[in-house]
Amino acid sequence: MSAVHQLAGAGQPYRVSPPVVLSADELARCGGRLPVWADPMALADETEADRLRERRLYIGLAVALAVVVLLFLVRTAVLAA
Amino acid sequence: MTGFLSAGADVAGIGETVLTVFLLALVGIGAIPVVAGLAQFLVIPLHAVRNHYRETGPYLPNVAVVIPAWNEAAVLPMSIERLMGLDYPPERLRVYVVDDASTDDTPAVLAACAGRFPGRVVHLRRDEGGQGKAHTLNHGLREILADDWMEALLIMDADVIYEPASLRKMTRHLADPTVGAVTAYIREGSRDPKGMTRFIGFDYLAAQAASRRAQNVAGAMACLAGGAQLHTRENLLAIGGQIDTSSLAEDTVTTFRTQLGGRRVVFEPHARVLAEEPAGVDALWKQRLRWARGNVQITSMYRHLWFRRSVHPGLGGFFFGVFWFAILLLPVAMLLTATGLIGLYLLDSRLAGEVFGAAVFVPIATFVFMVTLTMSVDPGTGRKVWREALLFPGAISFVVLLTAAFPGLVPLSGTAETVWTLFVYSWLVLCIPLAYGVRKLEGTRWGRPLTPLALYLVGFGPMMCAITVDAYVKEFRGAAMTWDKTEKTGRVAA
Repeated sequence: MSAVHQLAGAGQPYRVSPPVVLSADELARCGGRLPVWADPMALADETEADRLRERRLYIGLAVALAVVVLLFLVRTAVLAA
Repeated sequence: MTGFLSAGADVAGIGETVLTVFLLALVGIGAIPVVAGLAQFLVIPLHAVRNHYRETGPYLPNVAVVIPAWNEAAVLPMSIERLMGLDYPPERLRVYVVDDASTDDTPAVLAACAGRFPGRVVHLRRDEGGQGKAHTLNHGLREILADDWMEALLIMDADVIYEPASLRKMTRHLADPTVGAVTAYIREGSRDPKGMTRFIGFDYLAAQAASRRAQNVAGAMACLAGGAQLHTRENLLAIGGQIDTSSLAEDTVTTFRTQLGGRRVVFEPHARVLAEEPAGVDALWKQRLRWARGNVQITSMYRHLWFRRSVHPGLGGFFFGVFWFAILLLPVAMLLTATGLIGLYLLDSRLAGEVFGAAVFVPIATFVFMVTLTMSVDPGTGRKVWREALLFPGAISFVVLLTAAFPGLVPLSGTAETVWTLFVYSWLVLCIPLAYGVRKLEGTRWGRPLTPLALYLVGFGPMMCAITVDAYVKEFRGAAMTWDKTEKTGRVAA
């Protein structure tokens, strides 16, 4: 079995796709609004929103820890009674 | 004479001490999966900072979607319709349905779809089918790779429905040249989930949305979801341009080969995909048995990889190895814990009670922590399946845990206390054959009304353990690798 010491593709330029150009007809079919995939800035905004959305995991962690602590306190109180 | 008796008593004392230490060690070893599970879930919040989003780019390659299909007429029209409606440049998306010699209306359905979306839906027909998903996929791969149009390949199942933005959320990761493949978050998608499908809903929430975030953080992915795996062309060619046909876990082999080839595999939690899952115990058993046997095969196939960072820093790492074996050997761990506790009880009931009383809060706290954190990663799904989350180990286990956490709750004494204590200690093992019994119950004439009740009593978790035991037995016996296809009826809500 071969060993992996370095990622394939490391140091290579990022992959790019040709820009999407919409004709007037295609734009009209999209209701006159540029779809997200045709707008690199909108794509970047979408990614940034998803990245920030991951911060909700901190809230999940806080809630989960709070529930465990609450359970521990209840158990301690019940056993002490 | 006195000296002889004294020496005998010493030997007996030493023997008892050794036995006690051994039994305590069994309990300790049996607790490893609990600790591994806790460690994995503690890592999940790190995904907020340790993710791949900063290395993405606005990359929209030509994507060929390949769908293996055998008698999928009920679900294909909806899936294709949704694919054609994805928020993705239409001229950069083609769908190839590989019809594995279907005997239903699949050819007619595909002809209608191809006519409706000319040049974008391609029907590839195998004249002789039944060899399994990997062979069907390979038929499509040969056709797709023969043309250099495709830059990325999405492997999906016929029943799967993608949310509109999901594909472009996956392709953005491929901008990074070190990424070979991306997988999405598959959710159970029944319109009206109940019983089994609710359990699967929670299972997917824990195993995909939560656990795969931890795998992103650890830099090692166990498995690309079979219904949502996006590969670069370079990666497909690097792994041989074919899907493995030698095991029942072709998705896992593809995932391992990608990573061992030096490419990263990324989970994208915001690319959401709905899938139809089994509604009955027997159908679930067949599906999960295939997965579990596949995992046993992978463990043997990659035996030179485990716990060897020199082979692969992620897959060969300690964290990934413990995580992998904690799941694979969970039934063994449960057996060791039960044996240790029962042995201790027979040797010294007071010590057993102290050990159990002191240690029981750890699995309870771990379970509560994991359930709460899991539901928080997708609160919408979590709100639907919170009951199944709490009853995942089964209602009986729930009562056992509750009485263990609050010892005074059931006032017992004498023989009743002994029987109850032995039942609690042995339940970890007893639940496995009972889960097998639930499957058998489904086949009887009382099965329809009683199976859901039995499932909630015994639990989904013990059922997974029973399936893993079945996988050990089938692999040990060298049972035939049959591909029991899950029946799809089009229940998924679009």
